[in-house]
Amino acid sequence: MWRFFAAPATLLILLALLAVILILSTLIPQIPPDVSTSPQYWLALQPDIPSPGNDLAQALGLYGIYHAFWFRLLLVLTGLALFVWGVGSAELAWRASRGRWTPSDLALWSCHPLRNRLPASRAPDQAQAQLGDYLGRRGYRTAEVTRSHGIETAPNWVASRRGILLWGRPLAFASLLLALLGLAIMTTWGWQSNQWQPAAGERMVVGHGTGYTIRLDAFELFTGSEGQPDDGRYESRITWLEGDQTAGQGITSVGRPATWDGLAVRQVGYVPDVTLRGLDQAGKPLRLLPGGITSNAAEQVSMAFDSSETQQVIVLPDQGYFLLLNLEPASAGVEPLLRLALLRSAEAEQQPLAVLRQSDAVSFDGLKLEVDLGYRPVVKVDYRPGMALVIAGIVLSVVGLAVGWLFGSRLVWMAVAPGEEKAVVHLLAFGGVGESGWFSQLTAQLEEELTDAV
Amino acid sequence: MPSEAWAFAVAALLLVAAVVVEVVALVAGPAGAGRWRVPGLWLAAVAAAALVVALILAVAARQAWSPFDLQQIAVSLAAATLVIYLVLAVGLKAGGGGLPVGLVVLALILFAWLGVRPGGSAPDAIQRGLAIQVQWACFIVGSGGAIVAGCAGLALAVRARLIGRGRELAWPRRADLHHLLSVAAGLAAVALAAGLAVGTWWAWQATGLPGTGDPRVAWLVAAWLVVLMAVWTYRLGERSGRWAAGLSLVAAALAITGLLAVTDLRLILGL
Repeated sequence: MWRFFAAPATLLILLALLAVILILSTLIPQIPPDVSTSPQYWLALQPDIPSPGNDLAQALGLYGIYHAFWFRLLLVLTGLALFVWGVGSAELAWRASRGRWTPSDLALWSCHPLRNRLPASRAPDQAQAQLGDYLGRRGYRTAEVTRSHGIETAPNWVASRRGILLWGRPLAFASLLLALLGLAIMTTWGWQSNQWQPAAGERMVVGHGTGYTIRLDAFELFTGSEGQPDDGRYESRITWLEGDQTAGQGITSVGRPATWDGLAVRQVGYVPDVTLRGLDQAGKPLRLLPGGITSNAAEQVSMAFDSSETQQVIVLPDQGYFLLLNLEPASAGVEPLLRLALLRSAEAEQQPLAVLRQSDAVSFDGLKLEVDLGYRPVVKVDYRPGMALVIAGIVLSVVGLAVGWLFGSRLVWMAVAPGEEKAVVHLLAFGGVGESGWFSQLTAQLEEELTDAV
Repeated sequence: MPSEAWAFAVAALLLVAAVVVEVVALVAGPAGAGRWRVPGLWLAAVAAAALVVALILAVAARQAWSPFDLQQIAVSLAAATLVIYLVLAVGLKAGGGGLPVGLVVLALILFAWLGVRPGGSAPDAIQRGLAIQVQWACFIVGSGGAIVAGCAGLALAVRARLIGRGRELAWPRRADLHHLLSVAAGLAAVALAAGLAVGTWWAWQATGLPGTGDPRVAWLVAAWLVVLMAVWTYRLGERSGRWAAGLSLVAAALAITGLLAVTDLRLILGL
């Protein structure tokens, strides 16, 4: 098993599969997190998806790739390969930093290292001393390879320069593993609520065994220099309740969640909100009933217009009227526009009542209606354990990759053996992209040194 | 014609000249190559300056740099690719990938100039944070690195094929192209990872999710994974150079598609 994950092609194939899957996920419609409770309904609404009942793609989980079993299995396999590669590169870095090598360590040096063979014009002992002197001047640290007892072999050394930076590679592997671990923790134990569009004072039970309730105390949309809403700046004041007791308070704005006990309230947007109340001919409060809601009529109703809704209906049960509210969304800094119309019966034609850009009062048939235009926040509550690990893992991988990129280390295995002339120096280094440059430069310099010094 | 279009035209003309000079250097043989490569680099450097001016003018016309404006993205990518190539070619003295780099950058300029309208969708509040700007700046630098690495890989492949047929052209040394590929791939790996880190952090802060759902990011993460494969091919031993060249080409294609064509690709597929 270890050999399978340590095999050169394994990690590369796993990474290639991950890359292919990432691209597939952008070409195949993915079930959004908000509809995860009713994915079949969402799938049925998609024009590009064939009948969900007999769709092979659905059986394979292609509409929810990141939640499919095989994708998680792929992540686990990638994690194992990263672990094995990390251990291998850490072992190499550890040996390089200790400077203790045995002949068996040569196996660590990959199966196809860079090789070269240099003739020397001196005896092996002299060539060895000359090499050590030259490499020392070039900033290399040399360590003799411990030979097995009773076995006479050529003298071997390992020369390293900036050997400490060899730790950059295991750091990169380990940090990517850390990011995968964080992702696994987050998807296993984390959760996120659906969008919540509360009016001021509304409460929501957080659930998930937390015992907390949150309450929106206020929402503020800041205006820009010309008095128009600045849709980049808005914030909500939140109170965390434990039963009826206040546990804490916080403010959430774009990119700045209000956190409490590992939970976070995130401000993901805002929507227009219309509040209506009114008086009848006798000066009594009007009873209003939002369309589609089966609860009792109220003296004041408040309705949010989210991005998918532009029309709402309110019933005036005592008068038998319907009020139609049409909202044109805000665009390019212009406030939304509300068109108010009256429908005296289901068969009658609409009678336009008012076009409003801001709060105002509307009168008709002796009724007086107060219309308040405002905004509600759109917030989500979530618990994301492990997300910090994901971020830390990616950041550390940046560090590990940058260390390897900016300050590449040098590690050369050398053996001096008697040759046809006086001695032959065998050189071994790791093969790979970009490694051949410094290696060929070093061998050219060593060749010059070993032959010129005679 | 808007002012940035003039800058596009100047940059395109200079790049055409640089490409012609590179071709002349190639056919001039080893003796003449040295004489022609330096003027080629100078022309590319002036073209890079014209591209930076074009980018500044395009940004000024829209009053902000936006990662959702395809024209700005294309110009930024062209400028980043050319600047990265010039820095590496001069700093490492490892030119040679100039011809494919010049052609790719020329294609990007023509795309920005003639193939796409300026503007793009207006970003919402979450997409306008400083973190998003940093993320896309890192992505563009990383994609530029991937393109330079891919061009070096392409030059290696063409060189191997034509040398095998006995053509006597002034090819750069194989080691130089490998060095260029290695450093450019390293830069791509670091910059794309930095963009991913910033983007993931911001998406977490703003939405509580590991990503914002932008399909372009998925393509760039795929490009990053392929770049990592190219960087880690050292374990493949003697075949590593060939694999790294091929993988760098794939990463460059993914980065260009991810930055410029994902939206169109999804429209073509009816998504």
